[in-house]
Amino acid sequence: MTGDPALDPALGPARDAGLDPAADPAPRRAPTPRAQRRDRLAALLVEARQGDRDALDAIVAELTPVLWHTARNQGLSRQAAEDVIQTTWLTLLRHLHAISVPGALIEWLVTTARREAWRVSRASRKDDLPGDDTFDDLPDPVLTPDELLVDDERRRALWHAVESLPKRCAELLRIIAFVPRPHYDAVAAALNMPLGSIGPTRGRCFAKLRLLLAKDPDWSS
Amino acid sequence: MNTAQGDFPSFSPEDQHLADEIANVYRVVDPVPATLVARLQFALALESPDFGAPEFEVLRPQEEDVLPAGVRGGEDSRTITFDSEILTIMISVSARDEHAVRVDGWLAPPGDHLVELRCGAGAHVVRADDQGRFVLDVVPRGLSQLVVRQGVDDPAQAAILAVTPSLIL
Repeated sequence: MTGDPALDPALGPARDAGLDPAADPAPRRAPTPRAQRRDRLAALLVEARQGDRDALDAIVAELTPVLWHTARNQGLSRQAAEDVIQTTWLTLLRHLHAISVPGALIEWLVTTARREAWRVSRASRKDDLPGDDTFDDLPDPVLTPDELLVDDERRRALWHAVESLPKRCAELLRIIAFVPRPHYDAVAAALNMPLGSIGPTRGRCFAKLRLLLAKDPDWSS
Repeated sequence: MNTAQGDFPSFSPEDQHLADEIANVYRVVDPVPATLVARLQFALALESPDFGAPEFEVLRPQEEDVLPAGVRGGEDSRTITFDSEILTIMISVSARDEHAVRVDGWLAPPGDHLVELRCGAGAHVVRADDQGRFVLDVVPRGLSQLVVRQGVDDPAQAAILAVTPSLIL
């Protein structure tokens, strides 16, 4: 709950992995300092395109959380989100040959997952199912976010603040939180935000979030 | 695009910290299912070894059929429909015992295609009849994936028509 190696990497010696990404496979799998993450994903992508399964597995492990929160942002059940993500990755195999840089990969994945999620949620609304409690029966967490965060009032305050942001802001911040740092611009394209506007948009969303948090005694205490 | 240089002056350390905290919150309130990544890797590993650019359809599960059954849970019998632009597969999965299930399936439009069920233990291949029906009598429970190929005599020559996402039988 506290440290995630992906976001809070152990410090290591600076290595210029970008010069020869294929030279030294072992350390690439380990958490790397933030500045190197772009090169790591780039190196994995090169290997995956050559048919390296481990590289593809590492990419799946790294980017599935972004897709999870992308799909869940669209209001899908957990099961439907899983199906969307699996469809997205399977479809990627047919397009991998055309994707050469990590930014394009993330943009393609997030765009595809959003489109697929939209398709699925539209289909599920359209169909008038016998027994429309079907979707409610899915194994969504039984505990509410408030209960899950009961011991952490700051995070509870943060959750409430994010959830009360305008939808576009909440969606952007939730996805950005899971995107490897150097690739934020790819998210801008995937979310149909003009490049160059994600900075200001993100800035405004963070500003709104800060405003909400400032009013919450649980956050400032 | 994609020329980001890793340096984001507009993204302050405070904002980065806030983003990290948002990630931590969502890891608690809406965690990625624990086994999801492993199942995705399994499904991808079942793809053709050289995943260059195979021309097949990834079938989509039809939610209205998938969901009511409690799906991936241990119901005694359930029906799942997968479809794509060119092919629909409906399978009925019934329990044999705690280790195995029987799968009855139908392809539409019908065709005597080869149906391969891949699972951790290997692959079972049957040929659908000209009505598009097929039966896999004893299938071990667990992760599986269906692959439909053209019903030509030499399986190595048979183009893949469709694959399903992995499912738990």
